[in-house]
Amino acid sequence: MGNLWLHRYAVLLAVCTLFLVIAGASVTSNQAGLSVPDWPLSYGQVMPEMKGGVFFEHGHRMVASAVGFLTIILAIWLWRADDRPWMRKLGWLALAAVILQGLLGGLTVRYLLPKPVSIAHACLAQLFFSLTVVIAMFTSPAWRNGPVYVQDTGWPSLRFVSLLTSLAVLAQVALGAGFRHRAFGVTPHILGAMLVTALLLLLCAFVLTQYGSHSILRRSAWVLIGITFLQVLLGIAAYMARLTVLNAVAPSLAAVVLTVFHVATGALTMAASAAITVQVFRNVRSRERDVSSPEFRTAS
Amino acid sequence: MVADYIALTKPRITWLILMSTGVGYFFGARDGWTWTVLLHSVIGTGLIASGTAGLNQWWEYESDSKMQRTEDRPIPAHRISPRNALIFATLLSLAGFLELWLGANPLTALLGLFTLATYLFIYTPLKRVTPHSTTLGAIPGAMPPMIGYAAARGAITLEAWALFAILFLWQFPHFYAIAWMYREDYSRAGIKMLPVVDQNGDSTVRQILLYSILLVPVSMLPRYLGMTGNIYLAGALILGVMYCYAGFSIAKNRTRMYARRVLLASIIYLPVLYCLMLGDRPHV
Repeated sequence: MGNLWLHRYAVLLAVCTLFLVIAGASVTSNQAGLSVPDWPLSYGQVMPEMKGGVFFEHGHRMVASAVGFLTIILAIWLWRADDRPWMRKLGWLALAAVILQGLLGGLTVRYLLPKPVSIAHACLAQLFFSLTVVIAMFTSPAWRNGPVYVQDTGWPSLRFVSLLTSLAVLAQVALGAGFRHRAFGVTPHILGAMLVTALLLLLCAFVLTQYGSHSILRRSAWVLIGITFLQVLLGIAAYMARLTVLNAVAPSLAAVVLTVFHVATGALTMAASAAITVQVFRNVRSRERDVSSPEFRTAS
Repeated sequence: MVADYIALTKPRITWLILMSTGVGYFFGARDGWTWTVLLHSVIGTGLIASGTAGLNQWWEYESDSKMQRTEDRPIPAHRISPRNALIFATLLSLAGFLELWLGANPLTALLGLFTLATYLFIYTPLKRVTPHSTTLGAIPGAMPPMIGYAAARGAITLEAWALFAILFLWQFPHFYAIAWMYREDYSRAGIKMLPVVDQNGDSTVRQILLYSILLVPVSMLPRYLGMTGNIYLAGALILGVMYCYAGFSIAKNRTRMYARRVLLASIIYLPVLYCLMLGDRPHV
């Protein structure tokens, strides 16, 4: 089962996917979504002249193609090298997701940026990134060392809170995508940000106050806190930058950069919340079910 | 004798209720307010709150006699008979209802009656049945600003709901801290507050954290709705961090001393937040 190179490759795919998210966000922020009117080719060519909005749109397609290719290799590698059946399935799921994502991207171009498709494309991008991150986690040596079980007697349970938080982050991603693609105003996204931030901090507070001695959970919580604060700051900064150029024809460079990083950090937030949720489900057991289990031991 | 009847009305809690009612009134009366309606609202709410407190003490005098914290209340200490307390509290409640109906408006009186009914007939009996009684009890507990708002405006708007939401969430850490400090007392009286049934405190600290953290975004709603300015926003954030920190501390150190700190933080939080709200109104 142990294959360090497979893990390193999975990490590479996750990094490339984050870069793909940045490239995709740059297309929307630079209003370059229709710079290339055809798909799958660009102006009937594999490599058009990279000027104006074509740079962003075709550049996004090139990075997407590379990530798609890397995902095919990962799926095959997992199928050949990983002895866990569920991991092999996860590899194929990643491949299916990246193909679907490519099709959604194509539909977005072909049908002139239909909002539901564009929003679905944005959400699936973040889901796919989370998937690559958890695959990298599952292939890591730390994962193979096995869980360190801890008992959960509190209500609401940590499992419930972590799952709810991850779903809330996904909903918040959808609200952000809806705002960026002009399906609705910024209000739902701002209100959602307040609620999701509270949930993220709550989850981390539960973990740090009750499982502070569990190194995996503690580390996951601190990473999530760091990313959350960065994301809130970037969100506020992006909003302020947007306000200053409200009536401008083209967005300012600062607004573009801040928004793109806000989207990328959103992807990191979602991946970090997915990762901590997976770790909670793996390490934290409810008393009723597991306290008598011989495998049970405390983190301390 | 007079002091005992005053004690029956729980004057300190009634004072807090009136403060919340006043805040609600001033936000409801943004387009102008009159002394007479304000006076009728305060007197009516004060009467109905005092009556509810008296009826509550009449209902619970047997369990009050089993708790050190409450055994010296007028009925369990036999300074007022249960029958006299019932008559007194009923008259106060009735007077309060009529005062709100005639002096303010029927909506306000009905909100007052709803508060009395939910507190007495839902929260009070459920205290012996389930720890979820605190959640149900937080509903009448959060009604005062809504009553004040309705008295001024004659209607309930998003602004009133924002004030309701703040007070609703604020109560949980406050009451869980009190219940933690007096958990043995509550246990003796058969009152199933969360810290009584949750022996290791895991659920209690989670509830304290949950509501204190949720209070932070909810306390920003008045700014978002244009009821207050940025000074309020900054103050609410600082107060929210202070309240969360107290919750975080008790989650790490589950002792009576830290429960007292949560209680202290809650007592500081609400009046200061209300002062910031009233002091930073853009329409004044």
